Amino acid sequence: MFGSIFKFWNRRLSTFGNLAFAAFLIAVVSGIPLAIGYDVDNPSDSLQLLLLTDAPGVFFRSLHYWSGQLFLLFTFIHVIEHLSEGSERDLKKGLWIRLVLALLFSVFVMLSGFVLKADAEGRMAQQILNGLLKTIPLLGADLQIVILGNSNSLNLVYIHHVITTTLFIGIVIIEHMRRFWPELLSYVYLAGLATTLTVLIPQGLQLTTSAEIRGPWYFIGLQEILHWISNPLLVVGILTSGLMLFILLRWVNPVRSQKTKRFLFAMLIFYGILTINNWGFRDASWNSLFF
Amino acid sequence: MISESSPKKKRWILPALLVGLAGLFLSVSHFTGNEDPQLIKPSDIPIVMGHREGCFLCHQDMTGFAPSHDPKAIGCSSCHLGNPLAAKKEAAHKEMVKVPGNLDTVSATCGQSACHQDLTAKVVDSLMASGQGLVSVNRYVFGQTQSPDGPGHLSHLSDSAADTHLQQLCVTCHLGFPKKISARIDQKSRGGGCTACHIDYTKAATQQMADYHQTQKLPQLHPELNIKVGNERCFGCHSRSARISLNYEGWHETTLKLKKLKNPEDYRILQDRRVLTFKGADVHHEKGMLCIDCHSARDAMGDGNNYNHQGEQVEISCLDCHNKNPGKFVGYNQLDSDSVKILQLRNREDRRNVEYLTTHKTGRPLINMTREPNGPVKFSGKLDHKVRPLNAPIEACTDMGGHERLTCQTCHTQWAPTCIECHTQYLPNKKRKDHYTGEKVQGVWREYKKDFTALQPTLGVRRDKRSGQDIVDTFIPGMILTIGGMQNNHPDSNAPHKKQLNRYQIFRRMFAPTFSHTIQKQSRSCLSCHKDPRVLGLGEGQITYGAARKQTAEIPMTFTPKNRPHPADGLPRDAWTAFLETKTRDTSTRTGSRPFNRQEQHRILLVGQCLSCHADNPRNTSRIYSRFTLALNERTPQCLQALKRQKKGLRQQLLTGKKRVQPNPEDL
Amino acid sequence: MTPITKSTLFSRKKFLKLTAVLLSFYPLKLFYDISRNSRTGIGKNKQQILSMDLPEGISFHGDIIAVQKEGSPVFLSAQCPHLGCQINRQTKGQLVCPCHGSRFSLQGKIIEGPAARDLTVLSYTTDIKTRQYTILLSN
Repeated sequence: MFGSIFKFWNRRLSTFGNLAFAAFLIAVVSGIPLAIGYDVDNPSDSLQLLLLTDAPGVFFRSLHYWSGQLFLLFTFIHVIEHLSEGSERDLKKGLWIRLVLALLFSVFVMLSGFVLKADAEGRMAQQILNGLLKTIPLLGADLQIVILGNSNSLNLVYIHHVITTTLFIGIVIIEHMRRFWPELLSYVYLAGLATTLTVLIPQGLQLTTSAEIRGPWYFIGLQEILHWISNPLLVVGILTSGLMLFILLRWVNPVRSQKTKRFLFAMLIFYGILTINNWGFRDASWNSLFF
Repeated sequence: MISESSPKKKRWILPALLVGLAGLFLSVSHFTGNEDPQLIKPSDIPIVMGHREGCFLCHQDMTGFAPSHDPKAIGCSSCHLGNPLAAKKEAAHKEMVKVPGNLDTVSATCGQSACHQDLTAKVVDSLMASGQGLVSVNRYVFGQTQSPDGPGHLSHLSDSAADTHLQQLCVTCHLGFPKKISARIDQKSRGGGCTACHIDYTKAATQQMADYHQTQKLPQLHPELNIKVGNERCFGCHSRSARISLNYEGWHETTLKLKKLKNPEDYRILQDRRVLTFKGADVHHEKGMLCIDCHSARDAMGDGNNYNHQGEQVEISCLDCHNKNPGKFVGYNQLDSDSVKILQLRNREDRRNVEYLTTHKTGRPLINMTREPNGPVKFSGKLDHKVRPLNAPIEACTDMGGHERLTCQTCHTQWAPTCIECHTQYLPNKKRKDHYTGEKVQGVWREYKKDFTALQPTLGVRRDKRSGQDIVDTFIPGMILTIGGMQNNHPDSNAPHKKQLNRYQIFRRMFAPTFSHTIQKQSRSCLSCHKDPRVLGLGEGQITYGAARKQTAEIPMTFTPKNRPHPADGLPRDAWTAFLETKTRDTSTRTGSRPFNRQEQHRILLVGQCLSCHADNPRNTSRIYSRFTLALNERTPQCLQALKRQKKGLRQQLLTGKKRVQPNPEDL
Repeated sequence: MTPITKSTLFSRKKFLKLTAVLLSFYPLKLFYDISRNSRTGIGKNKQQILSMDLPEGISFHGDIIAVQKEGSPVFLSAQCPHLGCQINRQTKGQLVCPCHGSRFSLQGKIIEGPAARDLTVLSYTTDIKTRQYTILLSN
């Protein structure tokens, strides 16, 4: 059903894969000046000083943010586009696994960026991620240490954000695309779009805890789910099962795979509805218009 | 992937446009706005409340604050919001609140979780913000609801006749009305949330603000947030409606127009050109007491409970201070933390060895009523700290049999503003500026006043909600009015365009209990209740007694009203109830309040019969008072003669129009 | 030369792959050890000091919620028992966690929401001379 839209887009503009790769590269490069100013021992203050005293820093920070969001968005659309065509069958099984891992790492790189802000929202996100990892039996505490490190320091999160995930995602993208660079057109699109967004909607820091605190836009649906389901381990279990289903898409026969894809897509729509409910119809005290 | 058929050039048009647009935005944002301060060092930007406060880059050295709100401790952005992490003016002032404290933003400013969250939640629900009674009584009078009690909030008015009337004529006097001007509080000040009472510009600060508008020089003086709430901060709103602020200082509002005044120096003229005449101040004002000396913070700001009317929210009563046996006391260590905070702010922290009086109504402490342990109670002014003596009521106040239902103000109120007969009409073609929204509206509610005089208040019966007891209290016309221009509870757009004083859909005759704040040491005379028909709610006129030979209680009385009857219900235009009848419906704008019923009227007037002649002789009055039934039986033939003559004289007066003198003293 | 049969190649390749995968666990373990010993940053406070002049009712002080009602105060931990977010708002007599909407009474008892336990009541000591409370934060 989306086939015609994707065809049109790919002909006129640039493919989502190219756009996502371009966004990734712009995000990486715009992150370098930020890393110069960022002090992991004093994260919030170093960012505040950057916003106040470093005009190019303000520009690069917002560019880094927007190119990152566009990276995630275009990656999602790219995955949906190619799954709907069934082209995952053309991938080697090992590459498929690495791509799924890269997708997970992409989500983590975004989330770690959110946490590295070290403002009220970032601290809450760190708390929640910690809490979720803790609930996993046996592996929980170890996962916590490997992924987030000591809860008093953002050092490990910083390192993962800057190099671990970047390296892995970069290598996998290059292996997957079989090119080192995206096409020039996609760069131009991304640069234009990201700069426009940067200038129109610059990014700041959420300093006070009085105002509404929300996670990043891609996790608002998860916030809703965590509100409804009391046991966090159950939520982790559901997410893990969803991930397993997704990985198995490459292995099951086409008929089953089609059904699974439809199911996963329906889950995605449901997630979107939850997101809209939370974002549009809930106030800061979690009172809602509907449910 | 890329299709070979479409020409490559075409695909570049859109991205080129996009990049062009982005470049335009970038250059515009770079070259507009203030220049960044050059070479800002981290030490230029202090850390306040855990974050860098960029406001100080331009607004350093602001003074004028009380210590608790010093920007060095709380910064600027905690109250004024905006973006403290931006160096350019436009970015820093984005979403800044010019007047924090306005109730529409109070949950993010004064009421944020680190500050006064609890308190502002109470204020938002209190009567000064909601005006609940105002709204519900107004709807009741307009016939929209069946009871004067009910929910209502001045910020949530509908487009019904009652609510549009309120919105146009009354609604700016509530705390939710936003304050937009940065200037001294004056007689015209209304609304402003927390700033309505707690902030005031000094003359120097006002001058700096005025200079800023002229020369763009940033002001250095900030108005001070304090609890020095003088009477001028209450005046703007409370010189309206029941006119308490005016009454307290002794001024009565006339219906005179300033333009037509021949001798304006004999009057007091307010900033909004109302003309006031002096009638007599409250004794507490004469002794230098302020509104806040009686009304505690909880009185004014609410205690979190939902009240319908002012009388229910107020926790102070006369008997708290004027009592031979004062109520309970608490020590300093039992005070709640808000009271302790206020003591600190008023520099009374040293008073840890005294005990604090608690109110009868609510049991909460009054911080300016103290005593040394086992010493006498002392009252001290909250702002001037001056100790003033307290007089206990005399025996006549507390031990007067038959008068148990009376309160202090029943006898000690000197006068109250009394308005008779106004007409409110909707004029669909007229336009006016809506004070609330600031826009011009078409379709205007207009009030046409008749009499507005300062008279001794009428008396009636009020059921006190807390104790469940009936109390004889002072009442004034809530309204004796007609309303025209309505259709189906909505303003009628087809109503006539001119004033039509005799055409109306609604007629209402209801009085309301009031505490007019015109207390004096001098109480009213016995006759002023017992033989004054206006005070009994009958309207001005004459009461005469029949000279019944039989010594029974059923002594005939007649009432001859002075004023013409109102066409709507036949009662005199200034009456509340009919003579010797019990009014059961639409008695008052408060549930549980009513005029005297038939028996009560009769009982009260019976005493008046004797007092008409014997009021001045204390020997007689004490006999009348202590043994009334016997005194009735002791009426001499001269008494009866005098009564007959009185009646005759009244008849003659009616026939000839001549006024007859009072009963002949020889008859006594 | 004898031709190398497919099956032999396959099993050798498979064996090498398996060994590689197993060996890779060692660097992962090293990584785990390094992560555990990484920078600890500034430790969290074990206690917090508040002045005795607390406002009446509820007030929020970072990791502590103070409830003062005409007498001795009660200090609750602001950490939500669900996933650890800091509770910083109250509405209509209930404490609300901003992350997932758990609601607690003013005494810290759970009313509604994904959280399953009550808020921890913190112990404290009073110093009348300096007019301060020292509240012990639980880890």
